[in-house]
Amino acid sequence: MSQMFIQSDHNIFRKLLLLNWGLVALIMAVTSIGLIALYSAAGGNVDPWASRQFVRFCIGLTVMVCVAVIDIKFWYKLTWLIYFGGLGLLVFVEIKGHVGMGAQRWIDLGFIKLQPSELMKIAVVLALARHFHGASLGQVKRITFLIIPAMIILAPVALVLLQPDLGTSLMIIMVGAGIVFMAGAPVWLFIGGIIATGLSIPVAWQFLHEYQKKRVMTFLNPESDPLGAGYHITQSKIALGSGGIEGKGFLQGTQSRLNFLPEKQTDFIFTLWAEEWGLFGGLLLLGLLAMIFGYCFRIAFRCKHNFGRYLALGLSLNFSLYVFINISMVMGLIPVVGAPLPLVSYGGTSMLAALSGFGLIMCCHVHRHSKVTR
Amino acid sequence: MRLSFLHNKVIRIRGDQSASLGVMRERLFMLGGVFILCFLVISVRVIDLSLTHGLSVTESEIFSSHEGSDTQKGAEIRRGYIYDRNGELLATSVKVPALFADPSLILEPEIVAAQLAEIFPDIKIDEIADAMRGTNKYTLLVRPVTPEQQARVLELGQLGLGFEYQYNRVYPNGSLVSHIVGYAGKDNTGLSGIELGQDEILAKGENVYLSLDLRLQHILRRELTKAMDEFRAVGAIGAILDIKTGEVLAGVSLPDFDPNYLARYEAEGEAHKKFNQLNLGVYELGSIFKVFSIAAFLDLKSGALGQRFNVRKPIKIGRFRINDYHPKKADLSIPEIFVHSSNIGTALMAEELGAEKLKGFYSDLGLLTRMKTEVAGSGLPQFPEKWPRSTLLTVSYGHGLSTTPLQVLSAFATVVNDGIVVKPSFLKKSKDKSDQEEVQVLSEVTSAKMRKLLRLNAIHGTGESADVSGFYVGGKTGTANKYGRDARVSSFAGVFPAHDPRYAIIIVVDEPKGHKGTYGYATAGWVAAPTFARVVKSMAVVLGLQPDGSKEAEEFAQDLVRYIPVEDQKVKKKERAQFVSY
Repeated sequence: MSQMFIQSDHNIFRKLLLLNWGLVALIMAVTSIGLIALYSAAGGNVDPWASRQFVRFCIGLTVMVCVAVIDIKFWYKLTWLIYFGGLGLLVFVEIKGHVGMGAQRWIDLGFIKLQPSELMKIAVVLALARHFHGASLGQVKRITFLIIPAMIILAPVALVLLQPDLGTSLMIIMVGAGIVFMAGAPVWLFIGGIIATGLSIPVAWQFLHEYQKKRVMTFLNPESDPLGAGYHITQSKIALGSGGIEGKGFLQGTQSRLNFLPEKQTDFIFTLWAEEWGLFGGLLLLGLLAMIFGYCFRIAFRCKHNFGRYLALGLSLNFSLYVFINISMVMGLIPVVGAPLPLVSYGGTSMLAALSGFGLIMCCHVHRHSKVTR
Repeated sequence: MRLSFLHNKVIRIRGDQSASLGVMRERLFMLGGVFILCFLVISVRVIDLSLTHGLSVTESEIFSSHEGSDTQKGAEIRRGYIYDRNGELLATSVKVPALFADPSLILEPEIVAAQLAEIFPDIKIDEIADAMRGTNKYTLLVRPVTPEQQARVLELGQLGLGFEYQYNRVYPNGSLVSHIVGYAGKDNTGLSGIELGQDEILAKGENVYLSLDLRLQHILRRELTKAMDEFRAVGAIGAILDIKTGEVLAGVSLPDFDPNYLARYEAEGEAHKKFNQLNLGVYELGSIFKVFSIAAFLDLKSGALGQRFNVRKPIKIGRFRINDYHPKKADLSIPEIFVHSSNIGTALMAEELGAEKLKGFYSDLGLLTRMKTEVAGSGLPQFPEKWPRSTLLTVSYGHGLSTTPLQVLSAFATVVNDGIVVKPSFLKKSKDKSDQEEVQVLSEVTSAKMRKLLRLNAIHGTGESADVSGFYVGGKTGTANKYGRDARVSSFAGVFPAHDPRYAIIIVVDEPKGHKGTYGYATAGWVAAPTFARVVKSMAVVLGLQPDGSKEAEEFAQDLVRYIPVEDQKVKKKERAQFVSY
């Protein structure tokens, strides 16, 4: 690690021009949909959700632009600090955290409740990108070379599992596996992994909390217990269906607004949106989210150095997984796991994490020609 | 199209990286493809849900599928339906096939039994075979039979097997109203709850409308379930009472059962789930009884709120002592005794009143006799026959006297309802209530004082976490120790709005355990009172109740605040909630 970075010749203003303004516009469009839905969730009121969400978005946007224009070599250098700092915070919440919803997950910084697990998702991507940067295919094909990435992924997974937050730990594994896959690790490793997971499910089942088991069982047959644990899913499906093709109209979504739908401003916001704006509204939002993914994917593809490619791909995987998991959950395709819809759901950490992630992706774009050396 | 063009575009950055670049781009494309597929799957699902209106089978399909079959045997009377106050169906009768055998036509019972056992996994081969061995013409084998099972039996083509259609009781809401609606047996006679209590009417084929509001029932059950889970309690009980009409709007006893699958509970050793704790269970509910003793003192002794009692020393009865959980070194006024839930203060009032009067008052409130309702069965209150001084003093704060939660709610509602007895009813009442005889057991003046004390307790007392902004809650906590064990019953009886009482609610949580979020406490202030508040909030939304901002509501009970020392008013909510009011 003796050789240092070659100085970038871009100044700040040139860099701002190089930002992906199309991506920024898409992000703004999706956030606006979120604000409209939050306005409706509060019964046609900017308080308590829409106004705060707007402020957080403005802060997040500034953070995003700052992250994007900072030289990518800086982030490269900072990788291990961020990674081990994140691990430290995870250990910290494990030892001394606030009790929230039965699990210890956040640190109260006064203005925001920081969830180290959110930070950790980005940190894992950074660390993997740095590890694989400059690795040759020959190296990646060797199993011994994959020991370090495995540790990078499993250390935070173990800590997050202790919280216990099954959803987030699975997400870290999936994003990490995505990067390892892209790096060229042998395919049989992934097939083997999937088979091993399938075989270990009966064993893992023993270790799940009672409520987690119930969620899975409810997912398998929500109508079996429509007034108990299946309530979320059934209500969500009824609300989605009741919107029909054209939707019930702005502020007219009775299922969602009359408190029939729990967590309507956070995890189930897609339902609220689709009930009021119908099939067209739902597909519009999905389309915008898909375009964001496409944009990020293109950035990963066009980046000229491996660090940026891994980073941009890992972060867009993270974003898209959130989208899939959230929307599949509200439509009853997968069990309720408590994942927000990025940019749309009400929540400070999730908004900040999503925008920081986009900042890093854009950073990869702005600095796609930079020479990043080990 | 192949991915080979990718290899042509490889840009060399460093020698050792270029080798992996081709593979990387291929894999990038594969991942991108997978994600596009995911987006497509989700989109298809959105379209599917939007076009099919969310649920694949509608309620009407389920209930109409068996109607109108004319193969019915005999002229069986259809048992009446049970509805909630808004016409929501709680119990219905659906015609379902039952499998019977004509033993005289069955040649090989063992083989037929084995064939049937494959279709009906629950039956025992030996029993079925024995049943088919007789010489009679008719033996009922299995009921109810699902359409699929019926088709498979028909496919067997066995002579001597047939179907007849009988009414089967179905409870569309499952466990939601299980204890109150109860259940009927296979012969369609009521066995518990309303099904038994109103069996005569239902058997005639007449429908019954309950006072329950299914929406409120759901809210109450949801919040009690939450409390039970959060505090790892063994049970939770609650009821919502309309004070003006005496109608019970919701009644829940957890754990509960699904009356559609009764046999399951006996088989799994969970028969206790069928026990209705609201009407049948008797509990010591502790300090809630201070509401009744203090009301008695104020009414019968014409006590003034400003009267002070010396609570400095514990009261000695033989080798027992009556203690306060938070001893005060002062003479306390009645509002202070109430808000601090002082056992000594309450006991001193009871002593002044005497056993005869206190017992008489409890009896007027209906606390000492079995309370009959339209729901079959009611618990018998447990208390000592004779009330010497020791009994008198302890009973005044709810020790040594067990009653059903519904009874306590009824007595509580009576105290706040200008002293006019509120008799709980589980049947919907018609608008005019002229047929009702009004019995007054307490003066209006005393009732108004009690409402103020209850409201004060929700402003500056143990009931603080039960208050809901704009709805002016009044109420009393109760935490009772279970005899001989380290276990408690946490309860809260409340009314809102306190200045113009409309709804009375009781929440009882059986054996709650504290957790980190409550600093290890499982007292009523932490357990039952917040549950009460959540019920009120959700209720208000469903019933369309508007928050009251009137001056009358705002100032109600404020004149009592002067009795509370300033430093006590400043005690943080958190600390106050952990006061144990034994």
